[in-house]
Amino acid sequence: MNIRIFSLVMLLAVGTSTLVSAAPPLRLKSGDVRGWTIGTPDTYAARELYGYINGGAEIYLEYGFTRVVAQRCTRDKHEFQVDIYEMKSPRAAFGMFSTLRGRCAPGLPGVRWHCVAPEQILFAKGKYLVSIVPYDRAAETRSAATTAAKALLARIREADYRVPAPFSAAPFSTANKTLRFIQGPLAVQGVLGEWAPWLDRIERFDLHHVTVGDGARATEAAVLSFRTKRDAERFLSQSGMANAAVKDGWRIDRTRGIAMRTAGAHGVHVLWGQQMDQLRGQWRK
Amino acid sequence: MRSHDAGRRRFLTSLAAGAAATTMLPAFSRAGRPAGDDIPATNIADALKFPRTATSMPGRYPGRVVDVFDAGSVVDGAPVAARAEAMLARAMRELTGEADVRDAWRQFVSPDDMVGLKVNPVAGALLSTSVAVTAAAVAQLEAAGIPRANIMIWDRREFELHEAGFTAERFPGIRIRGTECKDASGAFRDASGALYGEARIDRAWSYWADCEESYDAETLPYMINEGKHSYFSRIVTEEVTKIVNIPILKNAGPTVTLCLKNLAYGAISNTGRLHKQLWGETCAQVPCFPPLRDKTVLNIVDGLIGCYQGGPGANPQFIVPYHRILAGSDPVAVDRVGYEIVLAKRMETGVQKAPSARGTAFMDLAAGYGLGIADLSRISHVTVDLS
Repeated sequence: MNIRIFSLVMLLAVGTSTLVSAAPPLRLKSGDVRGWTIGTPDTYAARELYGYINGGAEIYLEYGFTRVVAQRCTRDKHEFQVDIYEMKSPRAAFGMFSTLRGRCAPGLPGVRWHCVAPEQILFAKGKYLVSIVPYDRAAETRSAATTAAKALLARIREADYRVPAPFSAAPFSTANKTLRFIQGPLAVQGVLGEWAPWLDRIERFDLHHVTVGDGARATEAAVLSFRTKRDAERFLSQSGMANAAVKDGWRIDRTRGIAMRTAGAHGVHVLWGQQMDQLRGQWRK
Repeated sequence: MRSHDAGRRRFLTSLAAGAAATTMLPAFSRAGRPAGDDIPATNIADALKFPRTATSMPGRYPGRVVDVFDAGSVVDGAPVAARAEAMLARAMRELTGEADVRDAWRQFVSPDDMVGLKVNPVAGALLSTSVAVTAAAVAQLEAAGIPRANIMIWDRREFELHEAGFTAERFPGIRIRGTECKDASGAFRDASGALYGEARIDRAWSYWADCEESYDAETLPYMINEGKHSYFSRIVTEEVTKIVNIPILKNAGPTVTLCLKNLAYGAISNTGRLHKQLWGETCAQVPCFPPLRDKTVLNIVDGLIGCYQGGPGANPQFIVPYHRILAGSDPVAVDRVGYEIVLAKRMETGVQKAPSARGTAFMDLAAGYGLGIADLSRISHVTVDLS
């Protein structure tokens, strides 16, 4: 690259980064939830977060975390807590979201990745991950929590995290409500414990994962991208698939219902479950 | 040193919804590891040399676990104190065979004892040992003749106890004590610069492991020491004579954090280094040291409210009322039964497909050290429904 262009690019990059870090953090403002007192925001950067939650910020750091703004909202005896996590990227925000969501109901317009449950409203949009926890079961508290979520959403200009291939198309697109994105061992241990032995001693990877179907037909599908060929080989070895019989480019273990194939430089595709053969036929490389 | 008000800590409680959830996730150092993996050496052999006593784990009732259920024990997401007390009383009678709950408690403690109730407050008010179950234990201890002055509620961090609801206002006359602590101004050090926690560890007792990690003084201002030693708290070596262990029923990744974990990580310093490489070993080995092995006489799992995913932190979507209390003198057996309850919920909800050997590995290890029984077929699981 021409040195002048390079310098200009670097200057722009530094300038943009400064602007981003100097931008006021997203937060609730007075009047966002009529009749409620919006608490003063407390802001914690990564280092502070680590200390104050007993080392528990590690999974946020695994994904890439910038800061969190916390606000407590009160009205008489009623109370809810708003935590606005600013992650390093939309992918990081979605990834954290995907580890936290449980039994969800729809009900929050304007954001694709959301989870509304009696205990929590959770959504990821752009680089933001927002958790709102009502501390009581009163209808007015839940209603106020929803109003707060909508107020924050209205201020986020960034787009929803886009589903990557192959999960954006059939046959996997029907399973997007189960999509997870995982980058490291902490998240694997937390939400995909059965995969942990396969990923032992691999510190960094990209793992998109869905579950197609349910009950006995539930079948896991995943795309893994490793940093090195050695890690990809270690994964195949630790999953017991390194020497499995190969058919149509897939290593297949019929006893366990697992199929794997390598993809690209350091990638691995995985199918695990009863629909393994059917999905294998539909999954174009 | 900055101080932080309750509001901030409340935030941290909900932050733990995701973050602390992974704070103490096990890294499964033994089971399932490929052959040839190096496991750091520890001084477990030293611990096993101490002669056992009459009160050593697994205590009076090896392999016996009482599981009391009451569908009315949680209303609107909160424990019902009266129900909790009735459940605990029934559990104690069922465990011991005594008709009178006071006699049941006297099998484990006497008025001369200093009784330490080891609760778990790390996930804040949302998912910690409940005030209801702890208060029930206090009431029954008092009824059994233990003076309030001889009862202590303790854990590793005093400020976490307060944030989880264990306050002097709620428990007047009872000591609320943690190894790591701060003063009223929020400072972790005294005027001379010494950590308050330093005086609360006993360097005569240490869990040594060949791994270490450094801590940042700014972000972890209460960590007492680095290096390869984890020192036992004076709470367990000097201050209490009996321990009643009261963890909460919750998962830690695909396993559980119940009796053994609550004791092991709550009683020693310098624990951060152990999570990564020696999670299971620490759970099984630290309770082999006499201050825990010989003083922990009873385990009561608060399963009124717990979680099956997202633990050990408080992830609200996975917090559920289990409506149960488990009791036993054998911490391994109680952990095993608790694991089955959590596993069943994980499989019912599709969080987990099948049991995992990793989930029970630390219990098998603990059983091998003689702390209790991990084999389900040898455990007497007594169920009672008070609904």
